[in-house]
Amino acid sequence: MQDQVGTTEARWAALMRASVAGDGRAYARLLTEITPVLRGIVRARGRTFAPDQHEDIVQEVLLSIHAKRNTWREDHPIKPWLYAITRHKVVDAFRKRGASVVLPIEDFEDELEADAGPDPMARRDVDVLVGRLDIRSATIVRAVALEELPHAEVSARLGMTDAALRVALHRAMKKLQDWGKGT
Amino acid sequence: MDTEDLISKLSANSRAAPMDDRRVMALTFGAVALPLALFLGTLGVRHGLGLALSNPLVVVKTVLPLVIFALALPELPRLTRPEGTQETKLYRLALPILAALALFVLTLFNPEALESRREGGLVGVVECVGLISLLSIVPVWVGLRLLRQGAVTRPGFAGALAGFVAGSGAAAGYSLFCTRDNPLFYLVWYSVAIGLATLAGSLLGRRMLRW
Repeated sequence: MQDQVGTTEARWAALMRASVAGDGRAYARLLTEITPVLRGIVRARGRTFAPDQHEDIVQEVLLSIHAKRNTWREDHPIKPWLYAITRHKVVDAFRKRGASVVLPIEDFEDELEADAGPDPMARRDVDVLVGRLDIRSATIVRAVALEELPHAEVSARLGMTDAALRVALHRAMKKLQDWGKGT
Repeated sequence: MDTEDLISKLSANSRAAPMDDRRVMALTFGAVALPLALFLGTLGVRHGLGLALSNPLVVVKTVLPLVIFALALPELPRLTRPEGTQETKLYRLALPILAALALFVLTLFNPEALESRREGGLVGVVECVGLISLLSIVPVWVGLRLLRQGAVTRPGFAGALAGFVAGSGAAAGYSLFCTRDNPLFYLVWYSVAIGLATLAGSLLGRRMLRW
């Protein structure tokens, strides 16, 4: 293992030396080799972020490595340098996105529909609450949760994408839940 | 954009000139020395500098900030490397700073020094702190510009060090002009001036050194 680490270090250092001397192919190979490592780091540190954001962060790190490639000294090891830049940019990226933690809506789907089952005793209360929503949200809630129409049909009727529909539904259900607890 | 596309775009432009630590140090040194040369060249060193230097307390006034400057300057290029923050050897500054503290405490037991500790008055303080601060402006700015070319991972800390280097260098040069030889005066007010430069460097660094 120790041996392997040593060879990666030597290979990457050699590729970087060639890169800054103007060898674009060595540079492309280096960046291609480090990208999966960066993905691993980003994935390990960013479990709370949506997978599509991971790749954005990986690209931000690659851009920073490029912008700061003049700060690697040939007489210093390259891996600590790479990891220091990666760490700095990953922390930075997470801080920037920190305010909004994204949870995939799919995880809630079953739960939401189960909650909204047409219980006859609760139906009247639900109608009152749904009436307090804006028209579009109310339509979505009635169609999907109460009448149990398929998502695709509802989204087609309202001219929105499936994903947008699910988000809108989730928000509306959240509001209803809050109101339900409040009254 | 696809990551592969990004890589091929970046690799079209791979050439770069690696930073040179000695260049960073030389430019910072020059930025300290040039304003001092202009200042001392215009107003001259204090009258009877040679004679005054027979007093060890006058020698210490120049040597202490000079040693601090010489120890702090090589730390600056380290901070231009992203992994360099962990390698700083600021503990080496402990010796001259402890020496300064010891001198301060010892002087407190010297009734003569205590008696004359206000010899400069407010004018003396303003002159000393003001001139060292003025002489620090150029080197603080140059130090921050050089750090900006690097990849600083702790902007506040790196900026503070740039200010500290500038302030201690300026203080060492200014001491050749300064006629107040009471350690209670120069230890306190040189430290205040160096501290102000450090604070300014830290605040500016936080703005200038992000990437």
